Amino acid sequence: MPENNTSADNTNTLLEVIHLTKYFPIEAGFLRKQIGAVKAVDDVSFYINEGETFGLVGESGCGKTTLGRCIVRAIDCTSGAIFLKLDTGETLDLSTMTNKELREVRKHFHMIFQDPYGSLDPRMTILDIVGEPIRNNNLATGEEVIEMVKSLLNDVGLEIKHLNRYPHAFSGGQRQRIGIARSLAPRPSLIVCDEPVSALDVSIQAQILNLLESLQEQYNLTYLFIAHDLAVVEHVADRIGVMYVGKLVEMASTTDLYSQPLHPYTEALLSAVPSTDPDIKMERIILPGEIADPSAPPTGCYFHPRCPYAQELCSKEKPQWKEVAPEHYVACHYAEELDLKGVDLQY
Amino acid sequence: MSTNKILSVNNLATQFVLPDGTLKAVDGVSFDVHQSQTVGIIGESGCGKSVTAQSIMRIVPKPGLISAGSIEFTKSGQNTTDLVGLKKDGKTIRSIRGGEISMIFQEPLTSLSPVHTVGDQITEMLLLHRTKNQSEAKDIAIDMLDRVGISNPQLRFDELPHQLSGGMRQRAMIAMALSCKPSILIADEPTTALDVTVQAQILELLQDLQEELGMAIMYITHDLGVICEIADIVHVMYLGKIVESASTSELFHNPLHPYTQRLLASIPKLGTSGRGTKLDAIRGNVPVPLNLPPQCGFQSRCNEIIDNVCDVKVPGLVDMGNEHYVRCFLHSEEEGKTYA
Repeated sequence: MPENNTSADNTNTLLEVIHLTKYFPIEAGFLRKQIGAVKAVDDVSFYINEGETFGLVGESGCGKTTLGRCIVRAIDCTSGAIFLKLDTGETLDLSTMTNKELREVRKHFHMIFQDPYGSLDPRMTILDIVGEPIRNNNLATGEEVIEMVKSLLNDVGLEIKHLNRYPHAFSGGQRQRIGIARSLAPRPSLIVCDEPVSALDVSIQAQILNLLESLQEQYNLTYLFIAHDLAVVEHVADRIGVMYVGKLVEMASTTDLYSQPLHPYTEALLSAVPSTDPDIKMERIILPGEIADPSAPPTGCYFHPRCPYAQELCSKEKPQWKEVAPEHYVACHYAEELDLKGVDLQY
Repeated sequence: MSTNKILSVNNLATQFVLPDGTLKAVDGVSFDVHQSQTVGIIGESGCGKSVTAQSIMRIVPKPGLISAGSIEFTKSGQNTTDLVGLKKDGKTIRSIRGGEISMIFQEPLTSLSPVHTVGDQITEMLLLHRTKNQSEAKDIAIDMLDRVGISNPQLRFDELPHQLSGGMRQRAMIAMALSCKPSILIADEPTTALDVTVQAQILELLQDLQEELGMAIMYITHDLGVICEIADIVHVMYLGKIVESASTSELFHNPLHPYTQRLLASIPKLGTSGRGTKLDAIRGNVPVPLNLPPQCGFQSRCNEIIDNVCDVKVPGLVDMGNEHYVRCFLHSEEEGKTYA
């Protein structure tokens, strides 16, 4: 694993992302000349340990999905490196691999999508959907494929007799289970879950969250869990990164981040979560305005136009990404001085 | 709290006659809305919460029809009208719809016209219901846009919906809905598509406007946290029926129906359910309310089912005291009925 200031310096790091950027060009005119860039992901570095769940939170448009798609190489990143450790102990830089090379290693990582209705081919049966990655990776042939699919369906809580049905015959929660079974089929070590429960009904969300948790143990999985619901992320994640306009603004263990947030944006996000206890009236921090435009971000700290604590320096200078407490990183000029309010943890 | 009752829904039943049978989307729903009150309706997709709102507005899509019940609307100091008895496109309902009862929807981009400016869409409502004077209508519209917190209202007045962000569009829709000073605002999942920080802005805006304008809000959502923040009284819906009703603090402190209890237990709560804790999930799925036998709708997913009771009879909605109603055989043996 390469030397880096955000690395945990231990050997069980499964994924390490270093200075990853993804710019989408803005083109105009007849010659499609580039006139600017949307900085969707802007210099993001983090790592995930084996067997861990890393939560990535932020509002829509902050670049969290783009980051996830860069990591599984669904899109190419502009610069940076993505190191993934294989079970053989070998470490690969996914960012520089060609499509042909990737074909050999794609079985090690997979993605689960938000929309259980749009992410399954309506013309394929469940057997084909779940069996496809098994066949494509030459993990089994003939009858063996069917046996593997059956055991996968069993693991995700679907009935084996539904093998030859099509996706439309299933409910949203069941479809999400099919998507999970498909992503498990090639026995990956890393699964990128992009908002896996946000399209589901409340009573189904808990089923899927519990399932993901038990599969993590059973299959020894590492999750990158992308979500906007802070209560859900608190429940699943060991460590969390908070993104704002393409940048990580804070990263820490879940308990540290929730009990002692160091970035004003994290504080505001936590305070905006509606409470289900009618006695607790949390003091809400209502942020003015909306998330900045990533093609024309503000000067200095990107958050300063909405920040209740902003001072002159914030509009002039970009804050450094620094380790303020052990394993607690933040990008804010005043992180050490501000006394921000977190959540009272009852566990 | 004022005791002026402005809306009274009694045993409302709305059904969709489909080739496979009759789908009872709303099956005997009753509740009241008082002046300046926020009534929360909570339920999962398919529980009939949106169809209830559509029935009140008389905009139930075909082949749906209101098959029983009444919706009594009382304008302050005036006679009571039964909205069910009105012609769907008659003059009376058209003056109530938008003028007296307004509605905002989940996705403002699909409910606003993409080819008309925000200003035109608001003034159209004003010209229909409030004034005949074009320039006065424009003044009111700009004032409304300003009130809902849209910066540069003069400029925004001439913009098209796609030029606004999601939060701004929702604000524009609220401005439109409230421009005719309705006595009831029906909000159907208005913040579901929005980010948490924007959701917090919109919830605060609704509460401020309610204080200022004094309208009642009927707030429909699946989000228990949002309902806890905004509602005075909550009705929990499941499979077309209200299964529990109580004041917000009573419901969240002392939920009686197994569905409400399990729903509250199944959601992760900030600060209480950390890594490694198991969520108490409700098994199974919401059944489709098509040709269902008379039974408790929740019986297939309930852990406390009483054999030969819950699966053969429909429980009645029973007052447990303290304005707390519950529809469950664990609490009372009283039977209810289904509405055809």
